[in-house]
Amino acid sequence: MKTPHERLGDFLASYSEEDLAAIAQKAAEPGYVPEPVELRDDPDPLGRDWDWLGASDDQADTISIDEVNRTPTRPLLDGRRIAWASGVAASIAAVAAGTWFALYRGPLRERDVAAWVAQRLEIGGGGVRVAAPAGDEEVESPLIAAIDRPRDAAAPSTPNVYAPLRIQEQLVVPEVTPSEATAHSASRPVRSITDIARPGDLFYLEFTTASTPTPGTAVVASARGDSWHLLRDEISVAPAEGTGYFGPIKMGDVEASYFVVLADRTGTPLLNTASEALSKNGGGAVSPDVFRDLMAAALESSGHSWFAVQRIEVKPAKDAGAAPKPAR
Amino acid sequence: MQPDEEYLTDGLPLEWAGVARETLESRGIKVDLYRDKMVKERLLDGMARPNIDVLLKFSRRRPDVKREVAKRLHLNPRTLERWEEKAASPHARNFFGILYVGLQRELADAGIVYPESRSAIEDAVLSTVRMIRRKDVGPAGKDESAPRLCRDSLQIVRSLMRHPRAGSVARLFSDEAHPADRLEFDKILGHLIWVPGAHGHDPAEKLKRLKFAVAAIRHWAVAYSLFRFGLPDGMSFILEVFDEDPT
Repeated sequence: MKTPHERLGDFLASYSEEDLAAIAQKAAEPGYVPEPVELRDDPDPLGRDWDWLGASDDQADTISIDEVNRTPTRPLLDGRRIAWASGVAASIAAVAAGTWFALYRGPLRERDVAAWVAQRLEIGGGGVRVAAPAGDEEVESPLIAAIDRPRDAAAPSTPNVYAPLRIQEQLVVPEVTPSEATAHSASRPVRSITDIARPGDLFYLEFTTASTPTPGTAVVASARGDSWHLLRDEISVAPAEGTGYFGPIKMGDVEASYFVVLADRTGTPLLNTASEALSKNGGGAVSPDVFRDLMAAALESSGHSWFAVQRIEVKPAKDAGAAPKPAR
Repeated sequence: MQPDEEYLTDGLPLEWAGVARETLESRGIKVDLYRDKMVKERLLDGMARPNIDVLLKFSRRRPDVKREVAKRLHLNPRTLERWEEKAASPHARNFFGILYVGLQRELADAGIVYPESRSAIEDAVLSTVRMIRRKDVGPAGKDESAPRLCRDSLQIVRSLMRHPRAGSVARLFSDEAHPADRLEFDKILGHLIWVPGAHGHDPAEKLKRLKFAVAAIRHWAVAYSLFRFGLPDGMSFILEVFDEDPT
């Protein structure tokens, strides 16, 4: 007597290559849409609306096989369920914030990051706070209150969305033809934005951590002409934090490019890996794409599973006495 | 396959609950014990596993620390190695033994970074379903070499179970198979490989997706049905740990 599993195997083995090809051919026909059905209700037995499986109930009928598209979607979550399940997981498994040394690493994947300049420090009753000019009417809004971002994006769903409005304008998603899309995903140019700061001012690099799948660290490389340096700090980042800050950095008299690099943790500090990557260039000019390729090679050899990189060109404000204007 | 109305299970068609029940009975596993205890305990142990791995990796940085951990816990060093090699699974309680006794560290030690709950849960579910496949499902069919269970495979199988006609799939490999059911299954497969908004119509890509979906169903559908069958009350099993009623 065969078990159900064996009988299922026998049944599926009865599908020949031709049978499968016929089903695939039909599914590939232009205009093919499967018969609409109402999926059965399926509450997550762990009470988290399937966030751990990377799908919400609204999107669970979308099958994603392509590894490239495995970024988890953000479901609409029930707070009570999250609190319970999170609390339980923390209690039972002693979960704390930090890095996950992934058990099953795949190939190195590039993620999106949006980074920009948090331009102003303001001295108030509580000390110094980080502030930035908003893109539109909301001038002088405190950065940490995220007034110039979508109000419902406290935990940003995508890096672009949470960036200040002046940055979002520079990160508009480009349109590509279907044929370009395939090549684009493999070798798209490093994203770059331009921002300004007054010479002598302190500023921070602010960046989103929305697309980072696991906790990791961030380092920053700077370039002035052909001269490359690494900023000495390596800071922790985590998806749950939403944003990270690197700095303070002092604005010089000439423009500089800052490359924010995020990656997961391995046994090798990210700063060491970045140093190794830059040293392989032997000095001299490096284009952003070459920098990304050098970093990717070094990160892969260090066992990283994901990374993200973005360039911020910081230009000195022409009128040092005037308030900084949003970059356009 | 007879619908099993005695053991209602969220997320599982009655026919697939019947598949789970028949599998357990054919393997001599007590159904009530399975639903009350076995899967829950495996899942909870699975949540501890990635956290224990973090501690093991932490101790592995220095061989002397690793030796000391084994000594303090009165463990054969080979046991730690077997845990690291995934050749054996540590019990959840070992987490605190390794942390407090072996490493003599605090729970919130700055040098130890634990996985996020979402990652730990995904890992726990995948390892639990793999264990079910290995221990409870029974002998593999002919020429079967199961691919490693991954998130995508699990999503495929979950989507299958959510389809309103998933019950007819269970009938296909029972004595009550009907030719019309096979046509229904073809449609379900078309649904499983369809990606809303996708503009590509490459038959080769569709065939690749289809083969992936068929392999996922073949190797993991029964194990998944047992997993859901073993968690009949959803998250309430977690609440009972704290002796509170779900509201």
